[in-house]
This record gives sequence, C-alpha cells and structure tokens, in this order.
Amino acid sequence: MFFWYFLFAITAFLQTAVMPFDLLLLLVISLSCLEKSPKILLLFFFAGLLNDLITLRVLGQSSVFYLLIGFIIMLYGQKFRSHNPLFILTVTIFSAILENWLQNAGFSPGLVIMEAIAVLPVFYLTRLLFENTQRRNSKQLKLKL
Amino acid sequence: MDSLAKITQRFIILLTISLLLLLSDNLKLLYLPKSLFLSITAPATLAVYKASQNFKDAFGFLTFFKSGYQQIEFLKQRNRELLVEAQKTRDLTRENNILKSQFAQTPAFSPRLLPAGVIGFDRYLILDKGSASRVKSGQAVLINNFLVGEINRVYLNQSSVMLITDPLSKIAVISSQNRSKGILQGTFGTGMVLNNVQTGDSLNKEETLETWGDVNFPAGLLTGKIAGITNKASELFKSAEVEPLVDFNKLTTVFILLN
Repeated sequence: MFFWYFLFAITAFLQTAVMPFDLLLLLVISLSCLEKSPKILLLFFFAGLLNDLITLRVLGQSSVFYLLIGFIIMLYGQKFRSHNPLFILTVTIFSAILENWLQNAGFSPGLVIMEAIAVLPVFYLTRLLFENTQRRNSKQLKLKL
Repeated sequence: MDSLAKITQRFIILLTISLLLLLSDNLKLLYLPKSLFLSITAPATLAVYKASQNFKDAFGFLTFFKSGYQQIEFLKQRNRELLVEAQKTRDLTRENNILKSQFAQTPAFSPRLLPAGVIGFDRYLILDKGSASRVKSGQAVLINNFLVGEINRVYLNQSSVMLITDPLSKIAVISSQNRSKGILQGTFGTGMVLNNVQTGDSLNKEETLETWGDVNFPAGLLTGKIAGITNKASELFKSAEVEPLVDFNKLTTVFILLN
C-alpha cells in the first residue's frame, strides 16, 4: 500500500505543474475498478487532502469528491464488470464534467476530452502496477507458508 | 461483516471526516496547521513547478522551430512593452490637458509592490508570499503594468491568485482609445468577455482595455485586448470577446500591490 500512497503523492505534486487536467481523478477511477477493499478509500481520502493542500483549495472538497466517485464505482463493481473500457470512459466523462462545475465554476470541453483520452492508458498502466504488486505479495505469502 | 458492509462503513466514516474538515476550513479553524504544512511542502512544489517550466521551454521546438519560437516570444514581449508605453503616453497627454485647465493637484499615488514567486498553477496561481509579508485577500497582482488577478486565499507563507480569466472574476474596465466602459468577466479557460457596454459607445478590434479604478484595482492597469465585438440590435448592451495580454502559464514572478 505504501507504493500507492507514494504514487498518489507524486501525482498530486506533478498535477499542479505539468498536467492541465486532474490525473488523481483518473487514478481514483482506475484503482476503484481494480480493487474493492476498504483500504483504498483511505488512500482516496488522503489523495484528496493532499490535492487540496497543494492547490490551496478548501480542505476536504477533493476528498469528498474522490470518495464519492470511488464508492459509486465499487458499488457498481459488486454486481457488474467494472473493467469494461466503455464503463470507465463513461464514468470519467461524467466525473470530469461534475468536477469542472463543482471545483472550477465552469465547463471546459477540452479538459473533459483530454481526461477521456488519458483514462484508458492510465487504467491499463495502473492495472499493470496493481497486478505486479499483487504478485509480489502472493510470493511473500508462499515463502511464509 | 461482509465486504460491501465494510466498504460502506469505511466510506461513511471518511466522508464524515472530510465534511468536518470542509466545515472547519470554511470557518478558518485550520489556518495554522495548513500554513505549517504549506511551509514544509513549498520547496517541493517550487522545484516541480520550475522543472515543468524548463520542460516546456526545452520542448518548444516540437510545436515550432526553436529560433522562430524565440522570435515570436520576443515580438510578443516587445508588443506588450509598446502597449504599456502607448498607454502611458495617452495617460500623460490626458493628464497634461486636465492640469492645464485647472489649478488644484492631487497627491501622486505611489504603489508599494511586493515581488512574489509563482510556485504552482491550478485554477489559481500559487505564490510564495502570505500574511507574514502583509499580503491580504483582495489585493491586486500585476506584472509590468498588466493586471494578473487578485489575491483570494492567504496563508502564512503562501497565497493564491484568482486570475482575471476566472469565471468568478469581474472587473470594471474602460477602453484605451474610445473610453467606453464595461465589465470584464472571465470565462472558463483562457478568455474573457466584456459585458454591459452601452450600444452608443464605440469599440474597436485590437483595442486594449484598462482598469477603471475601484477599491481593489487602481486605474490604468492593462487587462486584455478586444478580439471580436458582438452587437445585436435586440439587446440593450453590446459585448466583446477579450484576449488576455499575459500568458499565465509562463509567469515565474509577479508583484502584489500592497496599498
């Protein structure tokens, strides 16, 4: 889990300087589709806090947003297949539009399109990292046995 | 307890904590811990921002040949300087004519400018000066007589700037040549709209707009230039699309008007 906390922290810093869109939101969506455990919600909470602190926004607003998005995706994933690229794209577009309205007091179609284009590569990269960490953890368990 | 119940329970707990933090921050109860955290992370934020600026400069050739790109940047800068010179000349001429026709003189306004480094850029520009340097909410931020925005949030050693292109920004402006008055409002993105201009007042394309002078912004600060004019016969006022004169993505140092 430490690896994910570190990744989210680096992303939060990079976002303010390099990315015009919310990369943390894409990571939240990707990780919610892959992992359905309560530990991930804590990660989203801290990612939101860090994002608000670095961008000097009101503390808690990003956490509320990321927690809601993550929870809704996890609920959907309990019954349906959430790895479907079409589902991921749809969720990203709706989340990006909602975030634009709530946090930026406006709507930029360009930003929404950029996030929609970036979400699938981010998802597959996150999936690769996630499966690698899962594999490493399962190897450690085998050694202990 | 099954997985869904655990997830729901954790979600409710974390959501409640987030909402409590939101309320506390709105009531300014978290000012000191936030200021302390920002002071610790400021060097990292500044390093990342500077690295990103160098990255953008280094890869300028991808969009244009480097020499041509540099030439265009130089011409843009020169154009900005000439706009300031032209505006100063017009102001001096106007002032000279007024002083000739009257005897009373008002004391000169001497601005106190505090230089501040830009350490981040999201919706707002983040600066490395805060209340410790007497920065207050509402103060104007400018660069070379161009208005950048106004301070909206202040912490101990950092503050954020609401740009003139922000949708919540509204500034009373006057056109430099025709002296037509209006309200300049930001649109989401990099543009602005000039509203509430009387239909009888004239506007020219490429005409610059300067601040009219109110509580927060002194008169004469350049804001943008008119890119297109909309004048519908059925409407009481005319409007215009306005382009900013400053590239906010490239700012590294700005000045805060302390008085």
